[in-house]
Amino acid sequence: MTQPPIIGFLDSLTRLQFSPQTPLIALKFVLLLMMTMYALFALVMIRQIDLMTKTIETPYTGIIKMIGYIHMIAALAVWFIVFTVL
Amino acid sequence: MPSSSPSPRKPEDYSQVLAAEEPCDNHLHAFMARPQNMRYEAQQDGEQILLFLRRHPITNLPWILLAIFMILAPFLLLPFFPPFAILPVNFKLVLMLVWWLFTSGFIIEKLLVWFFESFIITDERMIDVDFYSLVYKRVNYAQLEKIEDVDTQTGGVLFSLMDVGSVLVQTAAEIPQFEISGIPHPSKVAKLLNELVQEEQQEKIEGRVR
Repeated sequence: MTQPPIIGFLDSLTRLQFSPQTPLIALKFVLLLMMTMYALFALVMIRQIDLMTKTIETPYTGIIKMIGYIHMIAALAVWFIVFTVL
Repeated sequence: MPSSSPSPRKPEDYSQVLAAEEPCDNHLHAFMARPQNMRYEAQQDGEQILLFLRRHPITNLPWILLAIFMILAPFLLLPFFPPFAILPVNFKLVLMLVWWLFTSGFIIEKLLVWFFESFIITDERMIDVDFYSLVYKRVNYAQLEKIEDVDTQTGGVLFSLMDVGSVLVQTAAEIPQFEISGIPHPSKVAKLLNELVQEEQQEKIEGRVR
């Protein structure tokens, strides 16, 4: 049975012996951490857009909010790619 | 009694600046006279936005150049960065994807600040809207009758050619000075503010105070 990626990832962390794979595992860990923080930043950006569009209402409010949500989805998608592809 | 006093005049009747400008419905402009379909947060009933200003697009040039460099950086710089070459292909692709995502965040942030940081002149007051960080905004208000002095500044070859500059407004309000930088047509803005102050004084004299 194929084990879920999270188990493989956690398993690789517990077997930290220096091998040619070790720098890549470390890089993946750093990237995951960065992407988690970036996803939080994208969430804050949505909050900021909400604040800005309430301050000044224009016909572009809907488009601007959509850009914020697309950016958030992109951040989550890249987080998922980092987690599964690497 | 205010209810029996004559109704206020239309802004284009007493302002040469507004009379010369068509009402603007393109919300991407940096200089919008009587913008259509626009409201600001604390706008009162009957209060009309006469001029909406944001920084001239030319002021975005430095960060746009930086953004272009950031987009191209993986192609321009990575061939000269040996550790990148030994990474597996999937790591290379994902690293570039992450970099471009960061770049998109940078661009969106800059565009948002440009779009929403603004200076609004209504028939009652002026409003300076600033966004300093992700969730911090500052909005300063001053009644037109509190305006004491209006100065303009233009500097630099490019800014002079494009008619871009700053307007400094001294007030007797809580915020003693408003500085609006990088806006188009600063002399028109100063002229409009002077016309509005004169109209406010005229309203008081004639008992047309709302």
